[in-house]
Amino acid sequence: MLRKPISRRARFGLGTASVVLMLLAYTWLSQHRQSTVRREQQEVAVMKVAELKAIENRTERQQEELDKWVTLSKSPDAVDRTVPTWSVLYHEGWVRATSEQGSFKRKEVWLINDFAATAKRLVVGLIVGILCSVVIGLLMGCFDTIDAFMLPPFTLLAKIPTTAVLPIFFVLVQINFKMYIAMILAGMIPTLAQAISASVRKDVPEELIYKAYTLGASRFELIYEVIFKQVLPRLLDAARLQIGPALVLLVAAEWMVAGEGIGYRLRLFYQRTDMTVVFVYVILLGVIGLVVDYALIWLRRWVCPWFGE
Amino acid sequence: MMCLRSMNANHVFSARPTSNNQGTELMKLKASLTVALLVASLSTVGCKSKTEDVGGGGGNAVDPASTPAGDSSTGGAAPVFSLAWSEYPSWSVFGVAHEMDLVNAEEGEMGTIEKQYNVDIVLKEAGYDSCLNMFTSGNCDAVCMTNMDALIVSPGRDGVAVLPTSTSNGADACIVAGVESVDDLKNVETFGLKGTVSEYGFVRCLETLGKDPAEFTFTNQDPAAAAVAMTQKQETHKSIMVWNPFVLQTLNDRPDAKVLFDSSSIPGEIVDMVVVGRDVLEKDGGDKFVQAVIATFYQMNEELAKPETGDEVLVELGKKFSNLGLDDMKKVVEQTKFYADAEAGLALLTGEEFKTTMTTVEKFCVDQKLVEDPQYGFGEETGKKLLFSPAHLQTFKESK
Repeated sequence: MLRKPISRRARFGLGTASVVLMLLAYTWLSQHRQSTVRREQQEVAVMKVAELKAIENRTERQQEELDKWVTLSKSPDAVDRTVPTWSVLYHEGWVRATSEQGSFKRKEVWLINDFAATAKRLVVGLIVGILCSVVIGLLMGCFDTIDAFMLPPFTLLAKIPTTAVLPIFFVLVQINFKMYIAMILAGMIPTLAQAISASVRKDVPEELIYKAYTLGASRFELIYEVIFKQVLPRLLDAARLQIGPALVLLVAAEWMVAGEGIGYRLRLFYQRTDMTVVFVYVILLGVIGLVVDYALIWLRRWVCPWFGE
Repeated sequence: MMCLRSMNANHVFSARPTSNNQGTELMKLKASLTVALLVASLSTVGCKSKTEDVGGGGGNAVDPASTPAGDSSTGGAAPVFSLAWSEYPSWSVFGVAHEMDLVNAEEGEMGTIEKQYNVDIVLKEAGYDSCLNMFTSGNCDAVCMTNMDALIVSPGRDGVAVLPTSTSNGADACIVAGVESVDDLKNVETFGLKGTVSEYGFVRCLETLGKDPAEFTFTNQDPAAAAVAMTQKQETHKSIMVWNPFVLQTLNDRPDAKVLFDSSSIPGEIVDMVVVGRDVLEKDGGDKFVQAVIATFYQMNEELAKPETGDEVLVELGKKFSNLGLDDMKKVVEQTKFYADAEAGLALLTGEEFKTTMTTVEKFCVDQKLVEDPQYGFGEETGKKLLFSPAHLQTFKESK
C-alpha cells in the first residue's frame, strides 16, 4: 500500500542504516584507493630496482636512488588524497585546517579565518538583502503601481542565474567587501521580493484589512501591524531558502577573486588535487547548514507560534 | 485584492486598535524584537565593514579623510596602492612577505618595508585569470603576470613591466606516459590550457626540436583537471602540458610518467613579472610603490638565500599552492629560476635577447589570435601600450 505509515523505530533504524551505509561505502572506497596507490607505487619501485640493479657501476646518485626504491618496494608510502582515508582526513585535513599555519610573525588558522570571512560576507548580505526585499516586497504587495513598475524587471532578473552575472560584477564593481554584498543582493532581491509580494496578496485576507481600517488603523499601521505580521512566517521561510543560493554565489565568487574565505581555500586545494581539507570544509558546511536551517525554523515557530509547523 | 489607496481616505475611528489579548501582545513583541535584532546586527556589521573595504582600485591616492582612523604608524598620509598576485613560486613571496610582516596585506596597516617607503601596499590575492581581469578593469595598480599575458592584456590598460621575478626553466613541461618519442606524440592529444604559456611552451619546444607544431594536437583543458586525469591513468590522457606544481605533482603521483620536453630548452622566454599600470606611475607615490614592491621581492630573495631561514621560507612558499615538501620545493625554484637581485633583473630587461624573445612571443600571440597588433617597447620608448622598463630597477640599484 502506498504511503503506509511505518513505526518510529523502523524509521529511526532505516535512517541510521542509510548513514552507516554511506560511511561504510566511503571507508571502503578510500581504503581501496589507498591500497591501489600503494600497490602501483610498489610495482614501479620493483621495476626501478630491477633497472638500477642492472647497472654495474652505479654512481653515488644512482645508489641513493636505488636505496630509495628498495625501501619503497618494501614499504610503499604513497598517500591517496583524492578519496582520503579517515586517518588522512583527520591528520591532513582537520588538524591542518584547525592548527596555526605559518612559520613567521603572522600566523593564521585556516578554518577560522575562512569561515569568518565567508560568514561575514554572507550574514551582512543576507540581512541587507532581507531588509530590502521586505520593504520592496511589502510595497509591491500593497500598491499595484509599484508592483506594475517592479514586476517586469524582477521577473526577468530572477530568471538569470546569478553566477552567470559574476563577470559583470568583477569588471564593473571594485572587488572588495561591498562587491560580495551587492552580488548577494542582486541574486536575492528579485526572488525574495516577489515571494513576499505574492504572500501579501495571498495570505492576508481582505477582511483583516477592512477590520483594521474600521478600527482606525493608519496606512502605516495597517502595513506593519497587520500585513507584515501576517506574512512574517512566510517571509522567514522564504528568507531561509535564500541562504543556499546566496552561499552558492558567494563560494563561486570567492573561488575566483577572493584572498580568503571558503571558496578561496577550496580553489587552492582543488588546484593541488588534495581533497583532505576540501572534505573537512564540505562536511562542516553541511553541518552548519543543517544547524542554521533548524535554528531558523525554530525562530519562525517562536516568533509566529500561530502559524503552525 | 483591494487597492489600499482607495480605502485610506477617511477612517472613522482615530483610536488605535486596542488588544486585550496577551498572546497578540507577545507576538507583537517578538516580531518587533526580530526586526530590531535584524536592524541592530546590520548596523553593527555595517559599521565594521567600512574599515574592511579594500580601496585601492585604480590606485586612487587615498584622500586623507577616507584613511581609516587609528593607523598612527602611517602618519595617516601614506598613499595606498594594490598589487594583485596569485599563488606561484616567485609571486607567493609576496604572501610570505605578509606573513613575515615586511608588508601588511591589509589597507591601513603597514609592514616594515611599507613604513620605510611610506606607502601602503594592499595585497590582493586571487586566481591568475582574475588577477589579469583586475588589472585591465582598474581594480588593482599592479599585477603579477607573464610577459606573454602582459602582451595580451596590453590593449586593455597601458602597463609598465618593472620587475621580472622569475623565468620558467622547466616549470612548464610536457608529461607523457606510454609515449616514447616526440614523433609518437603526433598520435595522441596533448591536454593543456590554450592561449597560455602552456601552449606557447608546447609550440616553442617543438620548434626548437625541429618539428612542425601543426602536426601535433593540443586540446584545451584546465591544467589541474589534466593533471588529475593523467594521475588517474585515464585512457585519453597520454600527454599533458602543464605548469608547476602540476608538473612535480604528476611526476610524484604517477612514477611511470616522464617529461618529454620542458621549458628548460627555451630559458628566458617565459618570464614572470610585475606589471604596473602607467596611470599609477603618474600618481603621487606611484614611484615609491614600485620601489617598495621591488625592495620586498629582493628582501625575500635574501631571506631565501640565508642558510638559517632559507628552508623555512621555501617550505612556506609552497605550502599554499602545493603538497610539495622541502626537497620538491628546491626543485621548484630550480625550474622557476628567480631573478634574485637587481643585476639579474636588469640583465634581462636591458639585454638584446629579451627583445628577440618578445618578437617570438608577439608572433605566437598574433598567430593564435590572442591579440591584434600589440604595441610594446623597451626602455625609454614612448607611445607604447606596454613598456619593459629597467628604469625602476636602476633607481632601486642606485639607492642601495
